[in-house]
Amino acid sequence: MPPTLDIDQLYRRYGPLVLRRIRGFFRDPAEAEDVLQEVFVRVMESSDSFRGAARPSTWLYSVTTRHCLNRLRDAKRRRELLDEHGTAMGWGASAESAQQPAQLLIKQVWRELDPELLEMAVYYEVDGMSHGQIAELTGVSRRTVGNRLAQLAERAKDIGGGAR
Amino acid sequence: MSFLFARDGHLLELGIDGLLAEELSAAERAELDQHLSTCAACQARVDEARALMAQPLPALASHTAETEEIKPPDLEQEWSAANNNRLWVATGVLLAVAAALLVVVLPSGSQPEAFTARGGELSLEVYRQTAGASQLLLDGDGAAPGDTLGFRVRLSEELHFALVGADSNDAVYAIWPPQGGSAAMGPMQAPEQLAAAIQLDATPGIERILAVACDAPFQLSDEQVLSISEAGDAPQVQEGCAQELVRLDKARP
Repeated sequence: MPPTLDIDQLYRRYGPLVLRRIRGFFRDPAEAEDVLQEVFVRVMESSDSFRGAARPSTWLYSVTTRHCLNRLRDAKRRRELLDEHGTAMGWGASAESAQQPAQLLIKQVWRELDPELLEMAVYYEVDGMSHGQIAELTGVSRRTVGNRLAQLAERAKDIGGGAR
Repeated sequence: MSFLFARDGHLLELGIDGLLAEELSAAERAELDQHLSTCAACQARVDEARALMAQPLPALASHTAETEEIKPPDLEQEWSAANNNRLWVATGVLLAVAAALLVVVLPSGSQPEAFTARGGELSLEVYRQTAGASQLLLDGDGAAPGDTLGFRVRLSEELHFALVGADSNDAVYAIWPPQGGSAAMGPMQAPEQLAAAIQLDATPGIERILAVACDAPFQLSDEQVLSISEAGDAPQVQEGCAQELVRLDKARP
């Protein structure tokens, strides 16, 4: 990590990765580029935590995910998203994990999820991460991750979804 | 903790990111290469990601904007501007996830941009709401008449929180909680949108937005809010409080 945050360098090197992640949430290219700008504004704002990050790509991944979810959480946008995309927040999930049921589940319940659980749900159900990976990414204990995801699984049972 | 593989044994998106950013250790790279040699699905994802990486990036507009505009507004000039009619509203409960935003009407005028400041335990984001989008505003940015401002707050732990504003006519108003005083909130890992907003009127001057978070309940007086110095030093509310200040210049487009 550089001793100071060189935002231009960071953008050049990691901007495409960030944009790739964003496109999983926002399919419209123009909107995705707007969000890219916003994410890097947030990056500048959060430079302290950036300096402590093990790997820039990992840190940027979580910052981007949170930002996209926050943006989607806007009621209007959320409605549009659900209308437009129907079944999918179809970003590049791991090859065979995170297919429709999990995404559908999140889509169905995400109004009710608090931001932390929604983020964990995306990492778990869509990205296919383990509890340990989620714990490291979100800065909480594995136990907390497990407990929170158990809540999601309970909710899934209620609606007949398929949390794994 | 490795972020190479998902629970199903295929590559994580983060694993692909690590590969493309050339951040992987030799051991990780070997593991990844071995997987790719036998998994056409993941190889296709890597190829797709590489193709995307090769596309040109848009210019980093927000960076340019921010570095230029981080200079504080000329408060000396603006401080005693004209009068503002403040109507405000406010409202609701936290969290954008559910709530329809209630808007408020305030005074002001100019044109905004960027976002906020941040403290150890508290971060505040002020943003201009437009149809289908929001634009972060930085301390010292301009703001336009009729701009609707929304707010996002993050607290690292449960704290007593208040968000107040002061218009260019030195009228102090509560934004959150709407009834004034402070409200227990948090912790929030990510910024959450307050179900309150304000709308600026056309009166020129500096709109001051102050967020305060303390260990114990508190009540901000108008004098404390108005004691924000021209240099942007926020008032000392009480021991152990975090605070964030955003000043918007309603005269500067």
